[in-house]
Amino acid sequence: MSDMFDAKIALFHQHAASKEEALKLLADEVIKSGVAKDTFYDGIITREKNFATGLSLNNMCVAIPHTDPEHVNRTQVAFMSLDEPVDFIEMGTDDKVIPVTMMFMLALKEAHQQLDMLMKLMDVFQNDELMEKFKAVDNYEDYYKLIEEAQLNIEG
Amino acid sequence: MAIKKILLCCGTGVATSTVANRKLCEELDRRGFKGQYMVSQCKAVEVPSKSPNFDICVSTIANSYKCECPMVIATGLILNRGTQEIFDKICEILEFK
Repeated sequence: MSDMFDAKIALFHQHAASKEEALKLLADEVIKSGVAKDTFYDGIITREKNFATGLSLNNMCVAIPHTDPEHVNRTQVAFMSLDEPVDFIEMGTDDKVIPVTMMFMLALKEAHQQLDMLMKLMDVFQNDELMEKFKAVDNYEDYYKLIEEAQLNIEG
Repeated sequence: MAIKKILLCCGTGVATSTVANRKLCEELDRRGFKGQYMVSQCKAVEVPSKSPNFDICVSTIANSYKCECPMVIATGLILNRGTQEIFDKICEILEFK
């Protein structure tokens, strides 16, 4: 079974003192899995500094950190939930700070290839009930069931 | 009528601009402008060099770089917020009536 979640990179109910610390926790897992190169974290941080990826949803804020394909070996999505929010800047603004409690880190190898999954993911962000479930989930098995429920397990 | 050229940009040119691209094309086609426009995706850093050749730049990120054509911030397209206003503004700039 090959989809954009098959590397099983997910961290639940983590604690981080800052956006950088949170990004590092998850980026390290992405690099360790071989999905991305050693330069991935630096790429993520640079992108986040220049063009923020925070998104303010109806009942919570999430971030979709990602970076240039040159840092990536294969397309995957990594997930992390945080027990206490960390401050991100909202996408489309230069300075609006929002409290993020979940990250969907995108390791994207090419444009277009993952469009259907990205479109679905944006729909999921607007589904309050499903987002509450993502926030509550605490193990990989249940997490993957949510991915299936959200129909995000499109072959990649 | 000359084909209008739309430059769609985000930070990396692979994620949010791809989503915005699909939504923009669907709406422009729905409004009856199919075949009257073309879209190129790019990274934000490419905007200063590419924008002189375009009629409009639609960006999903904040405008913090030099753009030589009219620009619309379209982050709302990602989460379906204020989309009609964004599309109206784009159509106005492109003189799509």
